[in-house]
Amino acid sequence: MNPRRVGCDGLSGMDMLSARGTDANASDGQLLARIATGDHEAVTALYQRLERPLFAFLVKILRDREAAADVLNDTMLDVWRQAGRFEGKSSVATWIYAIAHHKAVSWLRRRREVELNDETQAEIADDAPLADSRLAAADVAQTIARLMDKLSVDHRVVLQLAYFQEFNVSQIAEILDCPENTVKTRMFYARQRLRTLLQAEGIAGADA
Amino acid sequence: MKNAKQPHGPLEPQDVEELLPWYVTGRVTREEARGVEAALKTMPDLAAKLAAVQRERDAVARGSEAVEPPPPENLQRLLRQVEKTRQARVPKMEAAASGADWLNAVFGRRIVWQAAFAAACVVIAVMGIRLYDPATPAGFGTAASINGAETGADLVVTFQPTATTADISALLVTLDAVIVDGPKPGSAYVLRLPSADPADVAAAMERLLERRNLVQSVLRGS
Repeated sequence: MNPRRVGCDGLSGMDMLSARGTDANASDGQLLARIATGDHEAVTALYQRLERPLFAFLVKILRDREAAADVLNDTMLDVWRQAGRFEGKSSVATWIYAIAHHKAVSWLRRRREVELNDETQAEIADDAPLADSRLAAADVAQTIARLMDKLSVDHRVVLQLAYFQEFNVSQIAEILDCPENTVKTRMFYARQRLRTLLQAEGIAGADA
Repeated sequence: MKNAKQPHGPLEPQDVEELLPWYVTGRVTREEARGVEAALKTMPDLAAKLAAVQRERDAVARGSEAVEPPPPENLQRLLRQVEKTRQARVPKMEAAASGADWLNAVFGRRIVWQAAFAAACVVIAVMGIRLYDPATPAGFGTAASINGAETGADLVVTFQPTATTADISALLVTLDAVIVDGPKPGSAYVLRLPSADPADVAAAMERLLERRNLVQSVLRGS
């Protein structure tokens, strides 16, 4: 089992009845059921389970560790407030990532970052100095990771959710509250943009 | 019969390319995976495209894994925030919930006003029964009179600020108790139990104190 893949269980009636158990073995749904009853230990357990992947997701989207820590806590506080209202229509993980994504976008909007459309972001990326980056181009993976920061928010989000959090198309559509075709289209343009940036770095054959 | 969508037929090249980012993480259906694998045998340039996707995926994953976790004090900060934050309550009993919704609509979610109104209703109901029941002697009565229990026992109870009317109503139903007075100073309410038997009173107090999420304190009434 891939450790990066967060739990994807819904919250069943059985979870509500048998929510007690060791925190490590408890499913996300069981922890959420306990949180709904006011269990602080379950909050801690779910936080510790999610902090690394969710924090990494937020850092990559916000590009600001302090803001990511704030948004992580805001997200978990919403989980605490709304746990009793979770209906199990989606998995616990997609529900939490949807909250986190919404809060991250709100934070960025406040910072006016999302007002920059893809074209503007592209201009900024193209205007960036390339001398140093060309030196590092031998390490393609390192370069890709660096160029990720030059993608638009929507493109970074879809790449993160697919490649690191390993959500499938329908889960990403739930998180972003958009049709599945939009997820595929964003992925297509995100990869196309990444390819263009790699070619600008002098990395030939980044894609066939 | 020919199926227009041909779900078992070969995938279009564009569909295959769209699936690659999810194929590399194993997040496609078995049927989609079979479609990609079949296409790899027939599309000469697909292997290179798959390798490029795999490189992207590895780079993104490595970059994310390199992110240091949040500072440990972040959890402590969260738990302090949790301490101070009320949870959204979901009524557990349909019957109680409908009454609670009405009370919420009229009085808002302030338990003091809701409970005061509920207590007033009880008193009015009891007085009404007294007035119209010729078998009942005139004079001030108690809720216990409704059940014919003239000698119930009183408890002075304070509820948690987060307790809803629905929660309290459900709790009173389980004890067969009613609110007969309050709110008193300190937002205390007088509960009338149907039995004054010391064992029954002790059992009721124990059951109330078990519900720490709803009940702050319980004292015997005078």
